[in-house]
Amino acid sequence: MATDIFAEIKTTALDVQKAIEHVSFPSHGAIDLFVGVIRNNHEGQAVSGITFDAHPALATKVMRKICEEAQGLWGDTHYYVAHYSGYLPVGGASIVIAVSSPHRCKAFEACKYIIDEVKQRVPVWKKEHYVDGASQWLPGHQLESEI
Amino acid sequence: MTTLLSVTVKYFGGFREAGDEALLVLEKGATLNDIKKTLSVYLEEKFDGLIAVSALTDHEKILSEAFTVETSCELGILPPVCGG
Repeated sequence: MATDIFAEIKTTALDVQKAIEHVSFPSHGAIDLFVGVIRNNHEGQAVSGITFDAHPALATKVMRKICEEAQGLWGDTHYYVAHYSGYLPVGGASIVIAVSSPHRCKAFEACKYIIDEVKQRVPVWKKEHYVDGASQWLPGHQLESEI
Repeated sequence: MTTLLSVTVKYFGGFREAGDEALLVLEKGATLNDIKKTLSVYLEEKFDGLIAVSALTDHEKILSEAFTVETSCELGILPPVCGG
């Protein structure tokens, strides 16, 4: 298993420093970091937090596959992807992605690819909680047989 | 003679509102469509729409339309995803 890709579902707080350390490499002069955090609003409703549910084994496998695809598109790149599972209040970090490359362009593009694909293909679900006490599972992208 | 098999379907996402899992009894050779139809009877009607757009997994991969139940097994039902 390639050590230049790390993917996991975590039930403890995500660690940005760990992500940076994982992708750091002597010949890489760029690290692009994406942190997804919980917004306090969604479609006009005041949000208090989100509960994330995940299929850990499949989600890890798909996140890894997405990183491998990105590595095929942008060579000489290293990846760290961690997604949170459980409840997070507003401001909590739900996903941390770090991508390193020799120069910035590949790191930016690959990082965008990862988050775009994660949203469409990784078995993770959100239950949004509102300030008024209501909550609902959010709609999403239907899974294909090949993810 | 019909062979009956037990199929446990673990819930994810919006299905969690119904609990943790469904314990179904299906005939050997049941298709994905058969599993979904049986689950639809097992669950309240309000889940019908979600069942229709959900995928089934054996916990290693998403099952294709060619899948049939050949032994008692555990599957998972995965609604449309929205990670990130």
